[in-house]
Amino acid sequence: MSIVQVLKLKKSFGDFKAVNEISFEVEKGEIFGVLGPNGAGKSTTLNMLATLIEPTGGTAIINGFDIKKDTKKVQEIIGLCTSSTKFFWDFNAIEILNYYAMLYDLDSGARKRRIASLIERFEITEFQNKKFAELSTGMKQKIALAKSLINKPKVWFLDEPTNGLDLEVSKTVRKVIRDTVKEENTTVLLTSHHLSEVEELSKRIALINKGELVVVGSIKQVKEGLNFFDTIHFTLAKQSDATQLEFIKKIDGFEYMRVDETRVLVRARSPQKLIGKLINGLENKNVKIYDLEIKRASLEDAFLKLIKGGSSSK
Amino acid sequence: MTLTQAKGHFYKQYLKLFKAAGEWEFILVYPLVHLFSMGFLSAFVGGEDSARVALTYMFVGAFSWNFYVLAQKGITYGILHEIWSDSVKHLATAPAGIIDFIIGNGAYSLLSGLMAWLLMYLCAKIFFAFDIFAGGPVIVLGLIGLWLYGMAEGLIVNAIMLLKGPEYMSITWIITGIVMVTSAVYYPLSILPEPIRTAASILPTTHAIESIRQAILGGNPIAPGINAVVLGVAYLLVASFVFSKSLTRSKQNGTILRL
Repeated sequence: MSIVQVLKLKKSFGDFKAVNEISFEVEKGEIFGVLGPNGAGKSTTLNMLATLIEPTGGTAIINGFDIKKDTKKVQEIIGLCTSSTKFFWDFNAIEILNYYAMLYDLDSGARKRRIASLIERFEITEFQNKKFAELSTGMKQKIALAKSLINKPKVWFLDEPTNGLDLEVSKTVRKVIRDTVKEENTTVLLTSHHLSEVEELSKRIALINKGELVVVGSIKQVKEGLNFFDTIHFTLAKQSDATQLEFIKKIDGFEYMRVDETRVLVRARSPQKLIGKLINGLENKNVKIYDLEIKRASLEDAFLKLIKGGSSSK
Repeated sequence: MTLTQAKGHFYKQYLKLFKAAGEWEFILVYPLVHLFSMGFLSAFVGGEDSARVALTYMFVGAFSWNFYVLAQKGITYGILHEIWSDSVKHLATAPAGIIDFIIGNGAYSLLSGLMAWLLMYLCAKIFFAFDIFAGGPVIVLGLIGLWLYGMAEGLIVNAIMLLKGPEYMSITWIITGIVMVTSAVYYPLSILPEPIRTAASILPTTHAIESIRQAILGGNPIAPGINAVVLGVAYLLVASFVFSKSLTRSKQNGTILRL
């Protein structure tokens, strides 16, 4: 069931089209990644969904509420956290969380319980009475994440939440994201520059480039949509007659083959399935090989290909 | 709109009061500087009888002016603190509405204004034998008028900042300066030239200050007091509408992202 439906969402700043009629859906309880190079329109999309800015055209429905018509209802069920979030420098964590808990209409008892639980979850007990200005970058970001969860949001918008954080804090943040989804059945829309992070957390993603939606789907589908597959590399014991390798092209899932003297590269939709038939076929043809390696097509490779090609194959 | 959300705005300002030393300047320093300057000035310019009237004019002006400035500041700083902390986006995406903002920050305005008044009252009584409460409970009408208009002006300044950026905060001092001259804060309205007197008649501050003066000098404070309140309500309603529209506009054209 879709909890977020983005419907031809559009945002222009003067003549500049920051986001141009993008549409996608996010399922309840999933971590959905929104990827794209700098200036692609990711943050603008999240800012519109979080009601910080109004769309020029189109709309989005979040848990049944229209972001344009039911703004307050949407605000009650979402949380937004961006990178390098700032708060009042002279407030401590408890005061910051208390202030926002009041703006989210949590009564006194609910405030105390929620703040205590978030302080524990983000491991900020030791620093809870220190001024925000005196905290480390990682601790500040933990408070920002805690603040964005103060209202137990149904949809949690995270705009590059680990940007500028060290590896340990980034790992904690990723764990908290996963735990929150599990424990509170929250849906996450995540943008990140760390593609491996998105690959680790998300099952489905949308790729945005120059304000246009390039592709949306599972990470596997996205790679395929960009014509970017895993590859098998092997080295022949001696240079073969090209006709001896022709059988590879007939194996199900085969996409592309390149032979460079003894080095062979085969691109396939599902190399795991193809590899057995490939080895059998080579044995049958009496073609000996030295080594064999499967290279996974990473999301990063697909992403770089997108930026270089400026692809827009919706 | 809920009481908790309005309380949130009040809570922020209350904490700021105890954390930012600069906040006390408006409550402790400026009102007293004002009070003593006016006290000594009136002693200097007046004879025995006229000194008493001059003192009333100047002290009512100083009391009223600081109350009005604190009312305006409470609302303006409701946004300015967020701008200075780079945290406007949290406020703009929270479900607390404009009415919560006005009630919470307005309550803080009232509290800070009353604190300044109490301090000024004690100093005026001790050092100049002047009692601002000698006019009786009717001075409340004037105070309400000043409070409502101060909040309205704060909302207009906020509306301008939302559309044009925080550097337009200085417009506050331009507006208050014009209002100070036009509202006949320290002198009788009759001293003003005719065109300015007409402009003064549409400002709640003029009527509010006149009402407090009349209460102390034994005139009729009711009519100007009611005028001050009615005009104050009208200004606040218009300013709330303008603030609401400018918030929408800043979300439409993206200027809110620059705050």
